[in-house]
Amino acid sequence: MVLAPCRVSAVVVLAVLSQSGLAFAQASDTGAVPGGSSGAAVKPAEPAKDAPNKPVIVPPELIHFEHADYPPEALKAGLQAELVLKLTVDKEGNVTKADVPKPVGSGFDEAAISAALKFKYKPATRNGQPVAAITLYRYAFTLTPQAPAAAPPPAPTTGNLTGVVRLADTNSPLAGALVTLTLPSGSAQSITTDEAGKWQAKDLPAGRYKVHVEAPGFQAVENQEEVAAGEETEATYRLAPVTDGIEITVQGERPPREVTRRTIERREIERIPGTSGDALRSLQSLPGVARPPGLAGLLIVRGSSPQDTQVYVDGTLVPLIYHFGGLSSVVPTELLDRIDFYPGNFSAKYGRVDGGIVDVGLRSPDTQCTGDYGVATDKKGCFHGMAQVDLIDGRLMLQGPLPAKDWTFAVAGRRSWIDVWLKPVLESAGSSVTAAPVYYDYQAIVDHKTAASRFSLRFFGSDDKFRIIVTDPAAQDPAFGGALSFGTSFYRAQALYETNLTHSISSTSMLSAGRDNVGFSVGNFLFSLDAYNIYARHEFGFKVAPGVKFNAGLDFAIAPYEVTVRFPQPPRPGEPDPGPFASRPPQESHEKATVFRPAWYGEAELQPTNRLRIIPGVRVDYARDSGHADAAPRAVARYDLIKGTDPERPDQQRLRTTLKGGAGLFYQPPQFQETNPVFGTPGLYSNKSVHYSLGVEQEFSEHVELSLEGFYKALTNQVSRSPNASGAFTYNNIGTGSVIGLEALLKYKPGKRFFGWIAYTLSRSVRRDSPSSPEYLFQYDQTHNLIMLGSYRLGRGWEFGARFRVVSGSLDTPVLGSPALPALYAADSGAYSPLQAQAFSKRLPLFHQLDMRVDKRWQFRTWRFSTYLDIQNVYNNAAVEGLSYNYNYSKQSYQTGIPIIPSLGLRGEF
Amino acid sequence: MRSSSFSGAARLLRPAAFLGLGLLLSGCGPDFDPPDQLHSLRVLGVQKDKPYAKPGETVTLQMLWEDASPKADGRPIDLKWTPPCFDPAGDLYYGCFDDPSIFGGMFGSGDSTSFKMRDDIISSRPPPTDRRNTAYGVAYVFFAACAGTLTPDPSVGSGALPVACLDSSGKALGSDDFVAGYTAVYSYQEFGNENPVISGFEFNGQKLPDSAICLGADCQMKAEAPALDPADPANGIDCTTTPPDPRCIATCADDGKSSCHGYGIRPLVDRSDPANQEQDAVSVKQTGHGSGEQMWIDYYTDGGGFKSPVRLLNDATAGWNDNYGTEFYAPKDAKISRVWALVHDNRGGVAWAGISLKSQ
Repeated sequence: MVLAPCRVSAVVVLAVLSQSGLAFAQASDTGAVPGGSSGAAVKPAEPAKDAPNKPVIVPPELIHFEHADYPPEALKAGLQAELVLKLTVDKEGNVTKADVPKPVGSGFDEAAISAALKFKYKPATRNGQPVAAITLYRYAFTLTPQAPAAAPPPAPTTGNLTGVVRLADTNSPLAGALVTLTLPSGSAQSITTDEAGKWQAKDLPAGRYKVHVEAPGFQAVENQEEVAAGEETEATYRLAPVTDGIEITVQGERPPREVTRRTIERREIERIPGTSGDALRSLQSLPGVARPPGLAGLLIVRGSSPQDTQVYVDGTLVPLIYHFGGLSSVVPTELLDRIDFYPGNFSAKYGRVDGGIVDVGLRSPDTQCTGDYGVATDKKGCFHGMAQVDLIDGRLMLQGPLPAKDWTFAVAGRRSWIDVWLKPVLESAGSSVTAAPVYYDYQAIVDHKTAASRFSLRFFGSDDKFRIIVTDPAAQDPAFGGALSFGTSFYRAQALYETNLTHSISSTSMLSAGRDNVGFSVGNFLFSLDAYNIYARHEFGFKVAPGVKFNAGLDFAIAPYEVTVRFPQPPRPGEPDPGPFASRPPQESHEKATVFRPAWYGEAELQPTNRLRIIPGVRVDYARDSGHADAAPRAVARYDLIKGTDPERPDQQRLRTTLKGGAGLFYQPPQFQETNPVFGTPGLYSNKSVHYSLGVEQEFSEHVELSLEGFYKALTNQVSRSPNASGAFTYNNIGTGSVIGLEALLKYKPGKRFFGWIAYTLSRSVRRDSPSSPEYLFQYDQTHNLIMLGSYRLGRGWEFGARFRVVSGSLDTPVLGSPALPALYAADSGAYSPLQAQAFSKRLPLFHQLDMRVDKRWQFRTWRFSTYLDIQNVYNNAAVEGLSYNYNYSKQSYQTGIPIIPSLGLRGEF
Repeated sequence: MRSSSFSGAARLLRPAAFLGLGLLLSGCGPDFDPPDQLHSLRVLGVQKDKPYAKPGETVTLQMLWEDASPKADGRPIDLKWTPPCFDPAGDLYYGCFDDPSIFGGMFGSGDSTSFKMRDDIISSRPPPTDRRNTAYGVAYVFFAACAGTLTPDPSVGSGALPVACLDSSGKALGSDDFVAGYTAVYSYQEFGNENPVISGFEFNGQKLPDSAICLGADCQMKAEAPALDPADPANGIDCTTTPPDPRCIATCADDGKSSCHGYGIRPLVDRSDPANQEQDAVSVKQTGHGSGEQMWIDYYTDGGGFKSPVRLLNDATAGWNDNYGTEFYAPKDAKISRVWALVHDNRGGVAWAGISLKSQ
């Protein structure tokens, strides 16, 4: 699902979360209040703006109270006051900022602020991880009554604690919730809320109580409340529904550094129809991402080639993202913490590519405990497991705590079982199956997380392979017969360390080492790659002043590799068909070398006003293999015409309006075959592009937001080639091109029952091979791409979703028409070579498709079972995916895509 | 060594991945006439007496063609060849289109021609950048078969063959009556190549007598190949004998479809014949170890159909495939059907054999 880019700071986000109905009560017993008999009133914070689908939030807990001095003037005048403090509490629990939104004067404001800055909190946590937060604190200044002349009545020793429990999203009272009060001594008392959601406990001994509130189907909350003798403390709690998982979004300390970052929430990933719950496939429903042909898992971003977009796992480049080119992601959804997708104008942190970036974050192991029937609690130290099976594969996952404090683990694995049914299919087609198609992937995570740092060790990998002997070669090109083997595998061992060195300096380090192994052979043709990859990233963040932060980092890639290629020279997109491979002599290249590509970058995050954010940056890349260095300056800016929070009235939310834009330079090195001495031309420069974008984000309601963004990419120095008279090809950097487009996203953010969006992309992508050659539409140009999807929770565990897409047809290169011959007979291979017209000059018919999905979940006391039916192409539209021809290309017809495909999945978890 | 990147190299695996996916998920398309069933003017093969020719050697080319068009009925076919096109840009056949000396009317005629490989075909090119690759040259020879008159047509646009086939009224004929193609003759100083050798033919489990088989140039329609001439009863197929001639088969109402009875059929290719067990010398030099030729068999017929029109004969790495035959499905009509098997190797070598079958 597409989320509008996260443009609010972590503090603000946590402020919203911290106001989700949790009351922060404090009382003062003596001193702070003249007369010594009164304390701070207990009032709830404002309702949460949007509680569903949020993680378990534990608000900051006051652990050290500082008495305020009673203002002398007020004391003299006999004045009393009550005010609300707005406190910013950092990850260490320190109050870094205190404001009084509604000043009361007479010195009360200053006195309260002075005291509050000395408060000490146990920091707020989000899924157990300390985070900064804003909390409200009501402070009362009352005068102590004069001591009676007569013998005083006995001082009260008990107080009352009352409250109300409400739904977080609607503020409706919640009846039947269980409120449990626990004294420090351990004695407990439980109360059930009435129809008005109210509860009360009278005559409680004075002291601090732990209040735990839970209700089936809702996330439990827990807080500390102070009961003062002779006083009644009121508290309001708001419970959010239990969600399917955490929000996959970046909301922590890292502020946005890009014009557009689209983030997909877990519920959206798992429920988008037509994706079978596959995380990375859901990216194809975002604006700016073209629909790839058929089931191919290509990421075609803003008119670029698939190879122009790279996929990282927490900063480590991975060589492929889908098993067998599109069946499912190599990292299962269950282990994802977030998917950040940058369609362009991305941070200087990323480079070596001029399309888009997908950075997938692996999650910290989940040890959050749940009560009976899945009721969430804030207790930790529990194990979770999951088993899932569908028509393609089966997977297992286990996560939980390790014996050592703050250490957790997660292990997961997946294996396809398509070999079970595909092997007989292939054999019945006359092939001898040596190794049936199979894939598997695996992940292991060990995590250590404290309030100040996170250290994570990971090991993950993937393996796809099959080997068959095709005894019925294709008539179109008999070379593609015989022994055909295919295998790709990779693994990565990765260490990640994040910490705050000081209050103003943060450090993030990533080091990974791994291996890529790719092999493909058919007949006497061969491609084999064996590479040992080492990636190192490190970034320091320096907060030098309020509103000024510098980030400096390095991004190193080192890879000893050995590659063997034995193929005839392949054509480039747009070139005439060279004829069947069958009888062309292969060229061989064997190369053993080490790639070394260091990069350094720096960025400044400037916030001259609370509405404006400017991020200039620069990245310098060096490639030892080409001997070239590229410097790429970039800048993005965001300006809030209307801020989501009114500085004058911080307790009220407003509908945000934000302008955003950016420009930057991006480089992408040539591909292997382009600089290889046998197949290409050494010494090529990097492809170069300049990204421009300008857009606006407008909130229409609490849930509805519109994002509009126009973009333009100017492509220069593009690698191009032409055949030369010596029988080889000469590559050069004289290609040019451009991409222009508009992206619109109207989104309903996930609520209690519904999420959905309408995404539309309008674009045009063109290329020119040389200044003198004609401009042509790029292979992946897609003029219109409209996606409408939504998913609705029907209740009782049922959820229904649908996705409808209308997309411009793909481009195809037609063969010549009469009176010209459409093809020549290549007698040496017994097949025809098509004689083609202008490259990509034929637009195939409009694509449209409806996908639907139904989920049903059963919640048992200790585990949950769910199943889904995902139906692609519900009305069985024969979508055109290409042109097919008869043997001599004299007749043509449309090649249609997948018919209606139902997919059934089963899943159990605890 | 200067190369691009491991990441770039890794990207190369994506097409391979999609090939794999393509094998798993075949698309949906219409059923065109299979290429093995002949219903029009077709060229089936061009055999060179030297598939790999050394500089200065003379190469003779022989064409196998058939006019299976319903309009055939003895109509004349114009067969022509172009002069060789040496070392075109990129070693690509379409690099010859812009050379007026190739298509400028210098057509030889008939189903055979010859040319001399240029002496400097190799030496005029820069040496390979990788020592494992062998220096070579290449000559393309274009041919055309036309049920009318062939004529140069330089007016066609870019990328089109500058040749037209016109009927008597000057109208351009289409693909059913006009076939053009090319063959490439590679030239290595140190390597040669032999055409595969077919020693016989087996049908329905029986080896056919030599008199029932045609080989090479003898199979050409116009040639006097007695066993293949259905009009000559003396050399025809007698289905009244006991036991009956194995070439006599029953018609099938489904006309060559897979629902018909399948008759086993294959040319006899002796794997012990050195010509059928050649090493791919170019690959051997590249890899440093043995690498056979990739060999396959194309089956064609003008009546009926096949279970598999292309069969693997030898894989470069996996070796010989003994089960290289296919099954023949009879036509629905009582007729004499001609059947060809063309044995190809991946280095430009080819051999063919033909038989006739009588369905009744």
